[in-house]
Formats: sequence, structure tokens, C-alpha cells
Amino acid sequence: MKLSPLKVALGALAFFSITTVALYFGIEKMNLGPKMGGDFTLSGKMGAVSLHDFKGKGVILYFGYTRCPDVCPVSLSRLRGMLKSLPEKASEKIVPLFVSVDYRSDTPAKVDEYAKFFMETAVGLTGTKEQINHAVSLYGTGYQFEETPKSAIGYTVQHGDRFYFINPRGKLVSTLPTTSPTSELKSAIESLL
Amino acid sequence: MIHRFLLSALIVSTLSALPGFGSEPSSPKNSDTITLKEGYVRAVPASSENSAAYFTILNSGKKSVTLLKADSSLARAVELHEHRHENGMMKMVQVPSIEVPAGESVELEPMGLHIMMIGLKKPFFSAKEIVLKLSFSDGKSRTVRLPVKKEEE
Repeated sequence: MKLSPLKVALGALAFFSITTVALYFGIEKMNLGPKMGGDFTLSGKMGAVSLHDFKGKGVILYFGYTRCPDVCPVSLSRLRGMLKSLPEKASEKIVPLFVSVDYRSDTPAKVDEYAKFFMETAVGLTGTKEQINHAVSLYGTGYQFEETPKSAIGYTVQHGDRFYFINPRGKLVSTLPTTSPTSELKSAIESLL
Repeated sequence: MIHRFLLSALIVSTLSALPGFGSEPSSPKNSDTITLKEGYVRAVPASSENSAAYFTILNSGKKSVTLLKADSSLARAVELHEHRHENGMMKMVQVPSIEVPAGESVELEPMGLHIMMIGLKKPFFSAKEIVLKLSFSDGKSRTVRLPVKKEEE
């Protein structure tokens, strides 16, 4: 079978559009794929930390970076508010896990301090580019460095703005945008208990 | 008559000499058509390089006024930024200015328009209040005094 250039172009176009649409909706309205989630290893301030180290506790995972001036603090403050409203016994069973994707500037100590500023029970992690890419791809999200030569900030990092709810057995059970209604986020948190 | 003129001149000069919001938004004696209100600066951990400031700009005048620039002695640079939600990703972009149309107000708020304080200097972290100097297109600069606070949901 011979492919005319037109067919190739049409095929490429179709592939491109489908991928774009899939990517767009995939990120916007994420349905949990059977393979989404899983264990990863990153660096904490005391050394290597894996998701499985938190077995027995529910984990609320969030990807961000410490230089993030607006979105991350708002999301983390929101999470703090919701965890505060849980009975003390219940909130002890949940670990907010803040993973910085900014391997250029963030250190494990800095990320951990940042996370604990919002919630004492939180743990902050980061890692090498490869480790971060692995974790991010497991959860079907991404990030992108963007140079901002006109701004004193130097660069920013685009990142997803979602919470991932991982049950005490390490299984990803749901994910929601951080801007979801409080009732939805609360029931996702309660599902981990 | 002269008496009244002197009194209002005195009030205006006193108010403009005052740092902060200049005057109460409801004050009828306030000759300024720009009012800055309901603001704060986000408290951040000492290892942070950046923070953000938020407030509402109210323009009760008949002409559109644009915020061109903000300055603070507690940051290496202060810029105007906006967050945009694109393809499920949060993206921050610098904006050249913020226009407030006549008779309208613009809210600088989390996840939207904000003043970025970049390269925070040490005294920032113990400050309870931050003073920002704002330059507007009407040629006036105004100061706003904002409390530093941690957000609660």
C-alpha cells in the first residue's frame, strides 16, 4: 500500500488533534486510569523518602514549587483549613505531601520547611529531574520551566493544580483540582480515613 | 468661606501626608478618586524568595487610571503579575500595567492579578506591615500599607 503525502498529512493532523484533545481533557477532567498512581522515591531533608514509607496513613499529594508565589500557598492554605476541620485523631492519619518539581532551585530542606509552614504534619520532598519526571508521569501530570527574561523572577514553573488522594495502602483513589468545592475535597479526604 | 477652604486644604494635605490608605474610602473630604482597600501581603516561610500582595483599587473618577508600577524597600523587585489557568496548568505571567476603568474597581486577589514581591529582604520576614509605593498613570503615586498575614480557609 502506498501512502500519498496528502494521506500522511491528514493522518498526522488527525493524530495531532486527537492527542491535543486527549491531553487537554486528560488534564482538565482526569479520569483515573487503571495504571495511574504508584510508588516513587524522592529526597526528604533526612534522605530518600518513598511513597510506601507512608503506608498506614492517607496521603494527599500536591506538586508545586517553593518560589510559587500564589497558587501553591493558596492551595496549601485551603488544604490546611480542611484538615483543621477534621477531628484531631483523623488528621493524624493523613500526611500532606508537597513535592517540588523545581529541581533547579529547591532543596529537600527548603521544600520541607515550606510545607511545614502551612501544615506541621506535612512533608516536603524534591529530587533529581529524573526522579521528579518519574513521579509526575505516574500521576498523569506535568510541569514546565518557563524563562522570564523581562521579570526579576528569572523563571517560573507551570504546574498542575491538583490534589491526589492516596489511601493508606498506597493506592491512588481520586484526584481533584484544588479549586474544587470544599464539600468535594472534604469527602475525598474522608475517603482516606 | 475662606475658613472652609483652609480647613479642606488642611485635611487634604494631612491625608496625603499620611502613609497607608490615605483616607477612609467613605470620607467625602477625600479628593482622591483612587481608593486602595482590603489588602494584605502573604506571610511566607523565611526560606521563601517571593511573596504576593493583594488589594482592591477603586476608581471613582471619570477617567480610567492605570497602575504602572509598585515599589517596596523589602524586595529586590516588585512586579505586576497575573495567573492564568491554561490546559489544566497554572501559569504566571507578568503584566505591564493594571487598568482601572472610570467608576470601576479591580481586585488583586489570589489566583488572579497580584503584586509580586521578588527577592524578599530579611526584614520582610519579621514585618507585620508592608508599605508599597504605587505609581499611577495620572502622575500621582500613592502608598498602601498592608498587613502581612497567613491565609486561612
